[in-house]
Amino acid sequence: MSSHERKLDAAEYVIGTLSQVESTAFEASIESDSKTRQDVLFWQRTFGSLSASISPEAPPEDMWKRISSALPADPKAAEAKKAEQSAKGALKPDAGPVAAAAAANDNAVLKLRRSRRRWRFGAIAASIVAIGLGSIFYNGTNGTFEERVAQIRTFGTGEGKAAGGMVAGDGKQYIAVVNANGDQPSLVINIDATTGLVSVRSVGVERPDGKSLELWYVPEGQTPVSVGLVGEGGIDLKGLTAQNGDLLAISLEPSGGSPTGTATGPVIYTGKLIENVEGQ
Amino acid sequence: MGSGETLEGLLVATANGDRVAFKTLYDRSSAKLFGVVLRILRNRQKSEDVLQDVYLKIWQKAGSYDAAQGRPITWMATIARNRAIDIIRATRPEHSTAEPGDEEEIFRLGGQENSNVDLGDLESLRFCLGEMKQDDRNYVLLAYYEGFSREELAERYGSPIGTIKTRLRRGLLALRTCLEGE
Repeated sequence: MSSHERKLDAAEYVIGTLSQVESTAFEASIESDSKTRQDVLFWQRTFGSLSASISPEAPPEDMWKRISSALPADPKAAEAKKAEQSAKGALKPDAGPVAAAAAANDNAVLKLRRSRRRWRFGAIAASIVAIGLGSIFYNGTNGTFEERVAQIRTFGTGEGKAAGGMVAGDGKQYIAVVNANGDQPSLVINIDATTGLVSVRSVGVERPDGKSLELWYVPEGQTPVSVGLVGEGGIDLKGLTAQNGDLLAISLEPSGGSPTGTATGPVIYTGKLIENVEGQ
Repeated sequence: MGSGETLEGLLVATANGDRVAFKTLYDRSSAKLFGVVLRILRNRQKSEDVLQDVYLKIWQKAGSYDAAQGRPITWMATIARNRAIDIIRATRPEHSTAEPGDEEEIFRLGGQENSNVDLGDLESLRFCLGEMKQDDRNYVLLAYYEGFSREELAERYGSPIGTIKTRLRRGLLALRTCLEGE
């Protein structure tokens, strides 16, 4: 790539007009090429000045309280934070290396590509991100996943344990769909607001040999739709319209998934999708 | 931690877990950051949520700030803007009614936080933006201030995306050439 092109890619990256695909590819080149890093720094400094011209606006009085109450109470978290920060340092401040978070989880992380226009599921989930941000944040790389997830606060839906919550660690945001039977979350849908990638991750759900875990999307009152096999390749949520109350379910199927088009094995997990309501 | 502390110093202290410093950092930057977020999201409720997330990010990432990334307020504004852009990409309806904004806006210098911005840089930028063709400039400003994507620019101007990309990049190239010549 010519330096001309690279400089322009860097500019578009910084202002945000690269597509998701281009942006992700570009981020990789930042890591490997110091000239690219310099270009990005140049544009960040340049455009950052434009932010100076934006009129300031006083946030609500209780904003600080909301922030400070979400800071970790654990003094050890400060140590973890420092360790985490020295490992990162990507130039786009909120784009951290994806691999670090993935490595923290033993299970396979399935990367989904969000189609911006069509994928309503992504839109709803992302609106949960937008509206529900700040519920609970856990900062730090210490602690097991279960400990982190235990800090999920249920929204006031009156639905008991079948509720959604937010956990942020490693700079990502998680929507945990809690097992309706009351135990720890078994399925985590991860919306990475930085890259727009959605991943579906199973936690503590072991896949027995010779079996597959099939993920079903169950719109209320309709037949379940298979969206793929957990840990085995692609989970495809495109074309689905998510609604409040829809279920996700995992059934235990023969290897390769159900041969019949509907669940044949036991449903070992269900979770409910909770649409966040404005003001919640 | 008095008001004499620089933003750089406050970031360092924040990186070490100093919540008092973080509060001071917040007090001195939150209006600016809220303005940045609100400008893109145009929704107070969402902006409040995003602002909270932004400050938690700043808390997490304070140790990764270095001077090569620009002034502290610029670095923080970048975090705020990026977060707002991510949200808007996911949730904005197809047709945005945002306007390029009066060109006077780029000359407005905001409030007291300006002491943290290099006014020489801003002057160069103003000059170089002024040198651009109006359409090219509007693309850049809409993209930057309002968070427009190429698709949204294409829709707004009734041009194919390829044309938008070409013009946007032409404008950015002219901007860079001008700034490097300053």
